Amino acid sequence: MLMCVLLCTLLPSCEKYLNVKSDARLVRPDDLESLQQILDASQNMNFNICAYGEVAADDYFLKQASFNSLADEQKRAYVWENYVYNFNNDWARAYYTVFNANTVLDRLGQIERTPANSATFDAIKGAALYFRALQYLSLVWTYARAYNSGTAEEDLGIVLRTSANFNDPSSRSSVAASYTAILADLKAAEDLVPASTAHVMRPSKSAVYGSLARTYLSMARYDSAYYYSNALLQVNDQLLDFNENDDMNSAVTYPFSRFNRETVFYAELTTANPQIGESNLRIDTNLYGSYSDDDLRKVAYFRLNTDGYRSYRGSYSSANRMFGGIATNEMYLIRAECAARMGKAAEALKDLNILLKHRFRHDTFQPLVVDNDQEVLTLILQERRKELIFRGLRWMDIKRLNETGSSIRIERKLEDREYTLMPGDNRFALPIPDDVIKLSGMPQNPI
Amino acid sequence: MKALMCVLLFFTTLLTVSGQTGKAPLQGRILSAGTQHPVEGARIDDINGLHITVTDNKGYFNIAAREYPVSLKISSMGHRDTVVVFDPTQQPFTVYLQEIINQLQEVNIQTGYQTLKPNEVTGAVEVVSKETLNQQTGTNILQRLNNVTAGIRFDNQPIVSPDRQKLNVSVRGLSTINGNLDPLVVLDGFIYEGDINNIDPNSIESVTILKDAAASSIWGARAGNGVIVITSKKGAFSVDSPTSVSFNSTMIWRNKPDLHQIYQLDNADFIKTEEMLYHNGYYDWIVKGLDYMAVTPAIDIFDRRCLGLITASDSAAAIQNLLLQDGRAAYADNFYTTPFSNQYSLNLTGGAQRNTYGLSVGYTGARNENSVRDRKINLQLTNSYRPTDKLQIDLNVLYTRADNESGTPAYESLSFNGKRVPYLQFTDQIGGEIPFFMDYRQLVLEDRYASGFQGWAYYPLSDYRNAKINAVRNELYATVAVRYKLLRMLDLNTSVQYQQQTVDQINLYQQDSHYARRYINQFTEVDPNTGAVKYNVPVGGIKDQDNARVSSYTARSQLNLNETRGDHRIVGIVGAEIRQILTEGNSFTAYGYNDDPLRTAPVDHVKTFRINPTNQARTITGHPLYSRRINRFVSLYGNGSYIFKNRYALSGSIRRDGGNIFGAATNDKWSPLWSIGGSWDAANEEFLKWEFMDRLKFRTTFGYSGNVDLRKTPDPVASITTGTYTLFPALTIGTINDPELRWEKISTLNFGLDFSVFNGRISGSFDHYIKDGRDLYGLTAFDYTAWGRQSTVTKNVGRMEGRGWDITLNVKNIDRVFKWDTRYILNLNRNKTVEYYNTVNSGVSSFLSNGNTITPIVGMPLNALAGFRWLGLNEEGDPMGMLDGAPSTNYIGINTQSLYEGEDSGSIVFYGSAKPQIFGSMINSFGWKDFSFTFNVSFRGNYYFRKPVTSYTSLFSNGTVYPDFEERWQAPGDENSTDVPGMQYPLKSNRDSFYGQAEINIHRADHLRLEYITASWHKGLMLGGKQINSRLYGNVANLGLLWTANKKGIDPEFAYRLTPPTTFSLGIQIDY
Repeated sequence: MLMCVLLCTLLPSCEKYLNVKSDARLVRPDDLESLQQILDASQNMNFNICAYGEVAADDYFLKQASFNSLADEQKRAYVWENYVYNFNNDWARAYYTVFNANTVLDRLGQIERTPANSATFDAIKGAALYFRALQYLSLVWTYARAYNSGTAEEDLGIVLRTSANFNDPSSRSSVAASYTAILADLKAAEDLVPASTAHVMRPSKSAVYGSLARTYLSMARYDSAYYYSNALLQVNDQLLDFNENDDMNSAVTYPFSRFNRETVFYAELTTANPQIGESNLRIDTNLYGSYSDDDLRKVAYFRLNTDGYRSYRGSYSSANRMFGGIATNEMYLIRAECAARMGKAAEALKDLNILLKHRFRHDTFQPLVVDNDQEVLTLILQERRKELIFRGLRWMDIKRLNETGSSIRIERKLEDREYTLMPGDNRFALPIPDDVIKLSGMPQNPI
Repeated sequence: MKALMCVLLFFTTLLTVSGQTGKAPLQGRILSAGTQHPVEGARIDDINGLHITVTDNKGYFNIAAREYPVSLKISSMGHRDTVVVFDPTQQPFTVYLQEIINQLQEVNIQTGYQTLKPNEVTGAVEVVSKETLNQQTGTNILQRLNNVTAGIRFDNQPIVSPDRQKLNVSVRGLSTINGNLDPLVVLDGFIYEGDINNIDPNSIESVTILKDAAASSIWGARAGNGVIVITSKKGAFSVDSPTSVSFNSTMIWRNKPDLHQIYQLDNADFIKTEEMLYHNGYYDWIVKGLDYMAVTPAIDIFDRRCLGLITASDSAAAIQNLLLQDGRAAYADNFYTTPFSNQYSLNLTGGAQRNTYGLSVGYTGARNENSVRDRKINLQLTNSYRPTDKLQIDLNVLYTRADNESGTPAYESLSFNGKRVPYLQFTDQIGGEIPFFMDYRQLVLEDRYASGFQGWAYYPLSDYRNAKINAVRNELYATVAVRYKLLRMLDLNTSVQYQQQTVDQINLYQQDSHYARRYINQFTEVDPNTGAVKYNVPVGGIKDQDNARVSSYTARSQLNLNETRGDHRIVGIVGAEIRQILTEGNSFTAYGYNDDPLRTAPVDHVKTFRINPTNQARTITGHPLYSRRINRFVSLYGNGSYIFKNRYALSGSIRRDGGNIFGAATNDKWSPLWSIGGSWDAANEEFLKWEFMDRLKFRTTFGYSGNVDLRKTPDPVASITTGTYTLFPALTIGTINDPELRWEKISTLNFGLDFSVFNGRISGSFDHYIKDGRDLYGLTAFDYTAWGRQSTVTKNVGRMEGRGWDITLNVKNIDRVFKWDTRYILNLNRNKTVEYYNTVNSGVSSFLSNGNTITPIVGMPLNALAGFRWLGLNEEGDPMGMLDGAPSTNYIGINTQSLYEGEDSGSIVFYGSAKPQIFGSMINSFGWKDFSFTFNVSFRGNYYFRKPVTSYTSLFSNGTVYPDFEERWQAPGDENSTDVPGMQYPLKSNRDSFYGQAEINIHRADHLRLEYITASWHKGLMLGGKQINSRLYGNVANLGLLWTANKKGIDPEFAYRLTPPTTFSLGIQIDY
């Protein structure tokens, strides 16, 4: 009898008794403050944008000696034959950010939203959604085919993880579902994040607009992309003037100051790909040749090496780390491209000229005058490539432009062999790590 | 059943006695105090030793004395001699004789939760009596189990992973790969979390080892490595038991360590090597680069000569002086004292019908060879009250205080920039102390860091007086238990245990100590222009304070059932307990410390300084740190045995644990640990009534026990950091644990046989077990899409298997006035990894290290050795291995090939286990009248060891060398007679490690060792009507190897290491 009483009183309180933290130094992130701190770990949240696409893209080449110094799988990545590679990689880094965002979202579910904490609560939730979407977008651009409304339902997309539970199995969604999830996260974030934040490392409403504009552009939904790039520029239309030494100085090693006026949201590409590391990367000579001598970017973006080739120094990170966030210059180009595609050539040209005016020497700059819609678009796309070099955008641009009639092919020349990646090649969806495929049983991208 | 019989017999006695009248013989009865069994053949003498009578087979005796009351002396084998006063007015007259316990089957088995009789147990259990524990004299209770118990192995190799192992003892070998390795220690019914050294062996009555799952699974998730149940001495309830006093004193001397067991080059060879290195530029990175780093005295002389600071004749004289030194002898003379300890203990126990009491006081004082002092005081109080027949209250309080004070510097600590030299010199010709410059060089210090600085010199002879480390351990261990008899066969037992152990360590470096002076100097800034001095670490002493506290409580409520009906008997318990272990710690360092007047000074712990003379960026350490860990468990358990006709027993147990180290996913699942078992006592069968067979019991059990890692947590572990660029406070989730992580689960299948024949002439037990450790913690690859920080995570994935035999055999070779008993203990244990995930390497080349680390390779023993194929030396004195089927000196290639291809490459050979797979001991005891003599020879076999050999890399960098150096290749042609590579500079890369890991250095480690010899003299005296038992004893332990399988006579467990010194003990024990 006594025993029964004892057990009855013991069991319900058991859970409470066992709920105590086993080590006081461990942080159990279950209040808003610590959730905000997870998101404020910029090294985990803002610096994991996939660079694997840049590795595969066409803005650079490797000299044979640089190529020889690489590990096997890094060599294979350069020539799009990286079918078998394992941890550590961009996939892992990107999903670490996704895990952090999901941890925040999971834990928010256990915190009550009250009138007193609603502003903080919403900002945290919006930020977590934004970080997840940002990472998903970078993943879908890298590891999936370009969005094609005809085949998007069948094309293999990315893994959409809906909780931080480590034991949930991974499965690949379709490209359509991936974009739907990204848009859902971003639209939810749009209503939650504040108009401005304490730092450009934290997402603001403008950051959400910027990402929505990017997302829609890569889906070829130009009206929406126009809408959101315009929304951002309504809030912030500032551009750096390369003629002035304000926030930029071509005389120093890295000309652009970090968190400059154009930066709406600050993020960086992952840094562990030596192919595009400063000592190996050499700018494609045709690309470099396409900058006119009056174009101040020619100096601001590039450094001449002793071997006669150029390397890249124009990152908004003010270091040899590639900027991958949202900046106003990209928005001008999105708005211009969409306007041109929507038949508003004049408006498009106006945006382009505003941008170029800030990039060319004032004394010699002549605004472009073209009246052919198609020609305006061509100019905008040329400037897009020249302006947004190593921003994590080029790989997706090649894919989406090839989807809409361009025929951009990439060539790699090495001593013994030449490699070409033709438009529409399956390998534009880069392979997922082999160990992940084996452990999860998910389908690999077709070769 | 027995109780019932007793009651019946009691009444029978009453009737018989009341029938007696007048001067007719009166009857009495003699029963054994513990078992309540009648004592047959007890001898009854009068007080003058005149023989009167003996008891019959029911314990009765009749006497017809001339007058009453009369004093009688009663003696019986296996019982203490007792003198009683026979008073016919007291009827019935019953005498209870105290047993002398030395036969296992007579001992009750303590599982910690219940006390069982041998026939109620089906599992593999061994009870070690006080007498066996007393065969050895150490101050650590566990050490006294060494070589006297089956299934337990003490490892002579140092502990590899202190975070999961403290005791270095295993019960039936390993059960885990990455989990906790220690068996669970239980003291008086509760888990003991303290330091095992705190338990005074003299206050211990017995130790019970629970080996198989049926025995240990009642301890649940922490019992996977076996359970050692320690029971302290207590008084016994009895009709009339006067206070018994026991006094014990032991003195222990040990030999000073023999430093010549550590091989060193002679001075001439050593200095010649140093000279060669110096002239070949080996030290250029120091003398022409980081010139502030210390060099050995010989190198210092060469360099000073080279710099022109001394003349050639000065240099020659200085070297000549070094050649004359004998460093080891000088060290031993100056620093070693004879290690000595003494132990005293006083026990008082007694009891009456309503209460028992026990009080013990113990003192242990010890001083080791380096004058490290330990003092320990134990106080123990045990009390039991029975206010009514239904209620019993037990109170047990144990208090320990131990003090430890550091001594002189260890021999190994005297090295110059990590290099030991054979020519250490402590005093000069006129007896002055010679300063040492062991980390920075005098030449540079005196040149650049003199003015404004404290002296940099270290004086080993005196410095230890200014640098003291004191640790104080305080421990309180208290239990209160209330037992209430609810029904005739049902008890309710509620008990609470509280334990608190604090360790307060203070490292005090006085201002004059080298440590304090060096630390102050490192942070001193002297302005090069003005000479102004800034002491960032204030001048004064440095005091490190480190306090740790472990406190735990357990509250337990338990029902005990004990019912006998006819041939049926049920013994069972069911209970619940909660338990918390709280570990707290804090530490800090005070600077500018002075004792009198007491003062300290503040320092800046934040700023980074460039320290002298290395120019490294450092902060001043020692800001306060705090830690706190809480582990909580909730457990439900039950255990029951059903015994039929005292011959057939079935037992079962079940236990469920929940803990805050498990996630909700684990806690919510009802996955209890359980066991079942059965036994058959065949000797009692009518159809098997062999006359010679006293006992024949078959046992078999199967069950599960668990093993947990208390450091694991179900939560993701976030650590505090700052955001890059923003410097916002931030959290990084750097470790995640599988939320479904649960305890490791070890199943054990056990078959056992206990037997005794010819009236106990030969007895023993055989146990065969198969352990299957499943769900072992192991790193496993996972789909890191879930969490991309790492590609592996700890999950319950590993699996290992252990099989073995525990065999004990006791033979009474001669059993007359002269007695000769032999006890044989034989253990067989093999283990292997069954399942494991390895990221890098899963081949035998993982076994190239010393075999002391657990290396999980599927299909292989957990500790094992492999070696490179050896093809001798070539004509240049380089060792040759096998690469692509041909002799080769491409050591990197050989290494790579054996890594990838394993034994198939032909480059590597797998040998076998690095831990004994057969071990045991033979204990011979001789007795003649009051004398007894015991010696113990242990055996370890079927395993391998790697003989340490000279690595020139080590010789050059830290002076370590082994005797094979003397046989080294020196000139072409030597390769025909030696296997030791020649000395080379510069060295071919990997040559040393190839030679060190080559098969020629792997040897069988089988050996015989004489563990101890104990002699004692036992005498019973009558003093004032009281029986006084005294025992004088002496023990010599660690007598060294008797035989070893390797031809060179190397001690495989202590190859070229200091062996445990021979220990001499002398003691006296008085009981009355």
